[in-house]
Amino acid sequence: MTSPRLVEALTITVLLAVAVLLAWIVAASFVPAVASWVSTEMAVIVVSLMLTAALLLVSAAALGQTRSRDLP
Amino acid sequence: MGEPPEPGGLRLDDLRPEERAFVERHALKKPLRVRDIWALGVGGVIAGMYFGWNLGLDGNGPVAVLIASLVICLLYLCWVLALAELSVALPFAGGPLAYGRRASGPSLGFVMGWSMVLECQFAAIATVLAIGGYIAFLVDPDHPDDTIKVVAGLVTVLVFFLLHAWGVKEQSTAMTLMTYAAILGLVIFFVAAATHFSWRRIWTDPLLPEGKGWKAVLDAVPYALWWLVIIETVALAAEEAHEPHRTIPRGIVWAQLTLILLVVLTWLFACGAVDDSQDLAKDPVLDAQGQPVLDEAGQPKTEDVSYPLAKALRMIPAGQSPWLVYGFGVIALFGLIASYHGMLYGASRQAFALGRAAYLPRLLGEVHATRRTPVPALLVSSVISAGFVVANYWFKDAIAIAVLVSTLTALIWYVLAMVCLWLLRRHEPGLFRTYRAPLFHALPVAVVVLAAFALVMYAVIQKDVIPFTIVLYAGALAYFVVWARHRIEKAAPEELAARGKL
Repeated sequence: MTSPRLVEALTITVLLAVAVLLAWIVAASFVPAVASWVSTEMAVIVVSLMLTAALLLVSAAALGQTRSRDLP
Repeated sequence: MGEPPEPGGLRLDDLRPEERAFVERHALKKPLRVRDIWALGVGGVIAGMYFGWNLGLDGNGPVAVLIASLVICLLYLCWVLALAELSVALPFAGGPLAYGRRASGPSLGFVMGWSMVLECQFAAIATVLAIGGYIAFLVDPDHPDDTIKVVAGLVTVLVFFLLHAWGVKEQSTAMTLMTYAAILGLVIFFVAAATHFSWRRIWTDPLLPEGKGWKAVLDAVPYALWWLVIIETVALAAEEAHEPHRTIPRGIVWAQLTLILLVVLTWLFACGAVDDSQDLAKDPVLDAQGQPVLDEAGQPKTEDVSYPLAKALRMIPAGQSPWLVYGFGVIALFGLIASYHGMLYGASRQAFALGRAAYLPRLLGEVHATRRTPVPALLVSSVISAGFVVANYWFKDAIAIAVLVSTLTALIWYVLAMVCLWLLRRHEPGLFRTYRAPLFHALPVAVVVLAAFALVMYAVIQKDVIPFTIVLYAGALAYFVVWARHRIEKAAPEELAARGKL
């Protein structure tokens, strides 16, 4: 698998994880018991890191796509 | 090899004489390059750093605002990539109108175009109100005067109507300079706030407010949208961009990455510099003697803070220097003005495109004979903004309402635009031969999921703005269905493109 393909595959995986985390946030907002098995500190760190990772990976994929040689 | 057609396939030779004459008579110039697109993107949004997001701190705290902001940054990064693909494929001033029209038909095109008119118009209203707020703060930091707010707002509206009417290249140059100044203002703020920074103000105990928990994140989302809303005005510049398949993707990606960095730093230093971040969201309403005004329940009345960074500076030791407070306040105005510039650009260009194709009154689609600028659309947008500036004298929640309506209507067309992207990729893959965004199917899905996450919060938490928004849509749709639907201008670029002629 080439490097850009690898970045895209990794990015899609992380975006899926983010989607799951967002669903968890909505659930925890209305049913607090959902969040009771993990400390707030740990959950905040995991959510923040996952969102940051998604931002970095999407940025890498986007910048790779705007290189001069890829544009007609 | 012959010269490739303009993205979207513009071939004037293929048009009938009357269609060619209409296109030439309503054509815009094409002077914008990557730096102009970057400046339009950053400048149009940079007001989001200076006000609006702070309202999300009210009752939610800095950590909730951070998480909401990261979600919104991800939404917008995915969104601008998908939008770049659409705007390169269909590079018309009526961006969303063109996407919806070509993907589905006039009704979807109108709903999307109208959504963007509302988004940009209400963003412009909120921003010009904040400009008045910052100027009133500069005149009297302890008691900002409402009359000064109104006068400053009206002067801003008038000056920028004249500048936009003068010409797009001239306003683009002004925008670039103001964007640099606005970034400089933020750097000054970061350095000053760093002198009074503490991690303990950010990593609070508890991290999320007791009793609210993770719901605080959801509460903050509608205001976090304000960080980056309006970046999509860049897509409207495609018709005025030189080689849009190169300039739009590069300019929009670099603009978005610049903005994400500014979002994180602004949040970090604003929340880390003041003892209680709630102070950045609400101000007590004081009477003529400086005493708090009480509401019917006996609680102190509050109003939205429209100058949070200036207020944060004022609350720290470094901010006791009048030079710093006034210097920053003046530079902050550049940021707000740059954004008002971009919002007026977006509102007027979208109204122009809807008028040019006769979805809205045709007068809105006229351009100045020599300057080639859409003067009637600019005038209508400016008059509406001026009306709200005057109304704000009595209606104190105007900024919050304008922010919420702008972000809600934005989310509606983001979701619809992804439906268009999916339909067009499926039915007309040739449209996307000059630029294709990364992540292919995952990208529009990510935008829809993230936008749906934010939209749900309006239905649950920010219900107050929904009836007003419904009225705005109902009125426009009634006009479209009863009158405009049967009189659409078939020679308008968006209509020719929908029929495969452009």
